[in-house]
This record gives sequence, structure tokens and C-alpha cells, in this order.
Amino acid sequence: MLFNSIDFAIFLPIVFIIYWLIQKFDLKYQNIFLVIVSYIFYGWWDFRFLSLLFFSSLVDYSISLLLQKETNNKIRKIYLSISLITNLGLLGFFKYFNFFLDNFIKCFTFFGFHPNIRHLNIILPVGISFYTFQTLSYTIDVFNKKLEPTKDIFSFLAFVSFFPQLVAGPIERASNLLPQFYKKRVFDYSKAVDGLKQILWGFFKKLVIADNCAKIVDQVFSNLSIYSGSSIFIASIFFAFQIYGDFSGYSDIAIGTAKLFGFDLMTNFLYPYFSRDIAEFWRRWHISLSTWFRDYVYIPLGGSKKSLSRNIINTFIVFIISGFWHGASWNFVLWGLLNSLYFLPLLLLKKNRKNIEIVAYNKKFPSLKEIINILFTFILVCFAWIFFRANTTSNLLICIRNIFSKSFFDFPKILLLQDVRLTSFGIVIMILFEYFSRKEKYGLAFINKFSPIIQYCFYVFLIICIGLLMQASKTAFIYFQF
Amino acid sequence: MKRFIKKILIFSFIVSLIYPFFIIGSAKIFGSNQKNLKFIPNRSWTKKTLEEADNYGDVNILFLGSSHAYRGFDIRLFKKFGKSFNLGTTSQTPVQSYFLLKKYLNILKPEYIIIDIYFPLFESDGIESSIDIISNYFSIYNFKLLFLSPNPIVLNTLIYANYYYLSNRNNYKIKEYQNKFDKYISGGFVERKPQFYVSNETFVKRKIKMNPTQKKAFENMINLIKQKNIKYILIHSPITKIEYISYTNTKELNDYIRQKGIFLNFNEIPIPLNDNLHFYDRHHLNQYGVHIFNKYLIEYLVKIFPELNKEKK
Repeated sequence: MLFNSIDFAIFLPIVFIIYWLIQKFDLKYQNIFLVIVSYIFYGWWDFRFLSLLFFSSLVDYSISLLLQKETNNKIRKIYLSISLITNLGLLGFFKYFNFFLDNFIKCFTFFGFHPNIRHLNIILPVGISFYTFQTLSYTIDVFNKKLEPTKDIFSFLAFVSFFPQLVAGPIERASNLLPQFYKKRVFDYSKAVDGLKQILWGFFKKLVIADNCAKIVDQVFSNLSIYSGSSIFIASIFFAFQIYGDFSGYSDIAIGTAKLFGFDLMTNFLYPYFSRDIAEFWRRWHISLSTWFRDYVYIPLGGSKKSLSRNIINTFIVFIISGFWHGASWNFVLWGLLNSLYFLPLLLLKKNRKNIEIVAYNKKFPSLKEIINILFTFILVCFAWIFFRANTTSNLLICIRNIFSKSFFDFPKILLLQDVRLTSFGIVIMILFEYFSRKEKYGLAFINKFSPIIQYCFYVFLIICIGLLMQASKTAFIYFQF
Repeated sequence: MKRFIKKILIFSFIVSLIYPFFIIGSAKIFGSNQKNLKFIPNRSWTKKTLEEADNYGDVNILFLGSSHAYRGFDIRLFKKFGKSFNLGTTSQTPVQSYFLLKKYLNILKPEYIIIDIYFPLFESDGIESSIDIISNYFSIYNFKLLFLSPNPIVLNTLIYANYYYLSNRNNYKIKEYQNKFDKYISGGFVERKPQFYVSNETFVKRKIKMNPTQKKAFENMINLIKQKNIKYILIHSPITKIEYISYTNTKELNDYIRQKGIFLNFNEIPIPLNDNLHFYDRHHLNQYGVHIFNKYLIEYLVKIFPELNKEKK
């Protein structure tokens, strides 16, 4: 079920009312209800993959209990391996099977062999990368004795399948989310209102920013060879806002929806385009994934505790794996590699933790130097997004060739001028709102300091903007494909 | 929680009251043809067709469909079967066909319904046709279009159209649609002046992906016709061969339509039509083509419904 669908608009209020009506009964019933509605939410897309979700949950639930009982380290490692092989095996099969097969065939063809192997018609189960990482983190934490495993199967099933964040995150840690299923939830008026505000802001970013940017971006990227370097670069700027509006919009809707049900999910985006260097950008972009890689890959590899060269290698490994996590294509690997190259000067100069606080934290406006740094970082990010958006390596080569040609200085040719104007208007609104809210957790939070009447005016303004500027046809969220 | 729900309901109510004012204000400032508001009257024959349908009386044959219907079924050639009406409108998709059928079934009381199928319209969102009906024909019943195919453009256009018609009701008159190539024939047919198609287009092979909303509307329409015990037939009017062969999944589409009733696809039935001589564009017959197509169609109709020759209203 898509958040931006009529189905969800009907589903959410019904589930919300029933959920709080059964609050007076045992907590267990509320959790069972959440499991049922989460499975309905997921099954709406394709019910066949519910078994996969259930199987994955069951494996980690059982293994974590075995891990708790077992004291022999060798056997514990075997249990952990079973969980890793099962989860990563499923992910690998559904997401990477054809990619590896393709490359295997290409390799053999290069050496003169022509293996007669057929591709499998595999449908990628939506959200598999997200819930796999969530369940894996649980088992690894139990293995490392950082977390007590749960015996309550319904709490665990609800933790894995919790519908607001099931298909595109935030990738929650068991230590944050699971205990919330043990406690009785009591309806909190101000939390619910805050949730609705965040949902509204998420919809604005998805429907007004992301979907409109998509139209402009698709026009250029579907026919790259006829566009100049300047047009491709302009399209990459719109793509930067598209992917931000799409993914952070989804996260805002997810976090806001969770608040309606009395849950607190982790923040996933903290104004990444206000970052003054690439390290700050990665601390603010897709935080749940970045911290996952930090905790379960970077730190186990030694993190920054060992030599500088080891730190650099670890950073490269994390970025390349992160790229590959996004999709089974060399483009994503190159995208990860490029980001690690961006990181390199900061690591060498030991300036990767220079900008911790948000820009202009104690000031009204940033300094000129900060503005220049923000723009420079943004341009680097936009260039990297080209690697992300170009569907194939041949498309990527066309983009790079055109950008590094004379045509970069041509006047950009974007056909949909009306869309460009309206979308740019939406982007300006978003930047202003997010700048004013930069110390808060989401872009609409700054209005809390105003009187209720003014707050209502802001809501109406955003609703009118959505009504007049959204795309007529609904589009899926980009990160569903990951 | 009661307070929360109460506040949401009050806020939703206030927004639903305020929202139309902003739409009207936006139309006054930026015009009535903008991104999500498309009130564009007087660009098609829809007004004339629907106004005539209101007072046409009972018919024997009712035609439904897009421009292929109102330009392809010449009701004059069907006179021998009694009175007929062509309810085809611009880009009419199954959603609008179902909507119009529900509205006019009790007005026109047809005994036979001929539904034109054009595969690409099954993948359409149907917005163009909805705004064509809303912009040209005022009816409170038009709100049903919004429920059949919810969409911000349809909603905003409906709001503005209602304001426009209500505020101009005393001196309201949309200028009659004129087109130097077209002649409107009473009963919903539009005759095109002789023109020929010069093919210089390239067609990329593509698969038609059915839109679930259209599929559902189509099935609802067939069920409604069956419930009313009306005889019906599904027709795919001829389009140029060059366009028809560009669809890669015609077999699958034909099979699907055939499950829903008697289906005659005149792109698969050999009739003497030539892309250059009998079409004026890639998917519309010219009047010469219409004559040939209707002649063959009538032969098939008589075979399928022999009683047609006897019945007259």
C-alpha cells in the first residue's frame, strides 16, 4: 500500500480508531492488531511475500532465543551464521541473483566461452533490504549480548513488520523500537498532533517536490544523448531535490504515522543539503542506514581506532557496500566509491568531524564562507547523484562525457518550463521552512512557536499547495525499489 | 482521543469550505487552464452531444466510446435499425463510458449497446475525458467522476466549473463549438471533411499496460449492461495498420476483451481499408473509411442479432 494512495487514506483512520479502542484490553491485543494490520499493509502490494517476511522474522526470533541459552561461543557463532546466511541469502537471491549472473556471463563471454544460462524472472519483494537489516541488527545485538532477546513473539513480529516503517525505513534498532512494544501505549494528544504535522510535511515534500521534480528529471534522463552537459547538470539538481523530497518525505510520513500510534522512530534526515562538508552530509542523510553501517560494518572492521590507512580502507568498504545495498548495478557501486573519494581529503586532514552542529546554530544567518561550503558540498552531491540516477553504466558515461564537454556552458534546454517554475517555487518553500526548522526534527516544526491560528494558516497553505501543484498520477517512492 | 478526532473533523470541514475559494481565486489570478485546474470549455462536441442526449428519447442502438465512436459510427447508416444515438466523447475511457451509461441508460433506454474499444485508452488515467465532460456540460452528477477516478485535476476543475456555471447561470452561454473540418450530425455523429493520412510518423513497439481503474470500470459497465438485460457488442474500430502492429500484446488484450462479450476487432478482420486512403490521421477513419467500416459492421450485426432487422423504435 502506498502512503500517497486512497487506500492508505481509508486504511489509516480505520486502523487508528480500532487501535486506540482496543487500548483498554491487554497490551498483547494491541500488538497482535498491529501485526495483522502491518501484514495487510504489506500484503496489499503482493501477499505472496508475506511468507518471506514471516519466515525471516521467525528465523531471527528463534535464533535469538537459542543464542541466549547457548554459552558455547562456537555454537553461538554457528547460530549467528545461520541467521546471516538466511537473511543475506534471501536478500542476495531476490536482489542480486540476476546481477551476479549477468556479470558471470559477461566474464565467460570475455574469455571466449558462451554459457547458455537463462535469467530468472525475479520480483524484488518491496522493503526486503530494510527489514532484513532491521532483523539482522537484532540478532547481532543479541549475539553481542547488547540486547536481551524477546520471548514475546507478537512484539517481535510487530517490531519487524511495523507498517509505517516496514517498506522504506527508518531502519530501526531493536534497542529503540522493541521496548516500545512492551509498554502500554497511552494516547498522547500533543504527540498525535505533532505526528499529523510531520505527515503533512512529508506529503508536501513527496507530492509537491519529489513528484514534480521527477517529471523534469525523467524528461532528461530518458533521452540523455540529446541533452547538453548543462541540461544534465540542471536535471541532477532537480534529482537531488526529488530524491530528498521522496525519501525524507516518506520518512516524515512514517515517523508521523508512528507517532499517531504512540511510537517514536529514529530521525532519518536532518537537513542534509545544509551540510558544509560531505562528512556532515552523511551524518544527516539516511541516518538509520549510515549508523547501521557504522555500527555493524565500520566499527567491527576497526573503525577509526586503528591506523589512518585502515580507517580509509574501512570508509571505502562501508561506502562501496552502502552503494551496493542500494541496487544491483555497477552505478551504485561507483556512486559509493565516489562518495568515499569525496571523504578522503577530510580523513587525511582529520576534518571529518568539523561540522557537528547544524549551520548557523546560534545565529540567524550563515556566514558567506558557510554558504560557499554548503553550495560546494551540494554540487558534489548533485554530481554523485548522476551516478545514482543513470540507470546503466552506458548512460552514466554519456552524462559524464556531456558534463565534461563544451556543452556544459550551453544554455540548458529544459522543455517543461511551467513545471520548472512551479517546482522551483515548491523547492524555495521547502528550503525556507527547513531552514527555519533546522534545529528541530522536521521541516514544519518551526511553526510551533506561533499562535494556533497562524499554525492553521500554515496547514491550509500547504494543503492548497498540494492541491494545486501535486502530480495528477500517483507515483511510488524511489526507495521502494531498494 | 475524542478531542483529537473532533479537531481533525472540524479542521477538515473548514478546509473543505476554504479550499474552493482558493481554487476560484487561483483561476481568477492565473487563469482557468493551469497545472491542476483545466476548465477548458468549447474545445469539443461534448456539450452538443450531451445536451442533445438529454432530450433525445428512447433509442434502439446506443454507441459508446471515444472519438473513434463519434467519428466512426455514422448513425445515418444505422437508420434501418431504428433510432440510434452516438454518446461518444473526446478521449472517452471506460471510466467515462460507465459514468455516461449510468446517467443515460434511463433516458435513452437502448435495446442494443455498441461499445468502442481502443486499447490505448485502457492505460489512460482518463483525466482528459473527465475534464472535457466537466468543462462542457454542467451537472451535479459530474461529481461522480471524481469518485470513479479520484484526481486533483478533476476535483479542482469540478469546483471551478460549478462556480462558473452557478455564477453565470442567468446569462450563461458557452459559444457553440466550431471546427472547419467537422460537421455535427444530429444524434452524436461528427462527419469529417475528406482528408487523407500521410504517414510520416514512426511508431515504437510498445506493450499496452492496462490501468486497473479502467479495467474495473469496464467490468462494472459490462455487469451493468448484463443486469439490465441489454444486448451489447464490443468493437475495436479500425486504426492504421502501422499503429496497430506497434502494440506488442494485442493477443493478450483481445483475449481479455473476448472474455467480456462478443468482440469484433476490425483490425484483425480483413476489410478493404488502406492507411492512406481511408484514414485522416493514424487512428481516425475519414468518411470514405467510415462507410466501408460501417457497411461491414452492419453485416456482422445482422448475423449476430438477426432480430435487429425486425425491431424498430
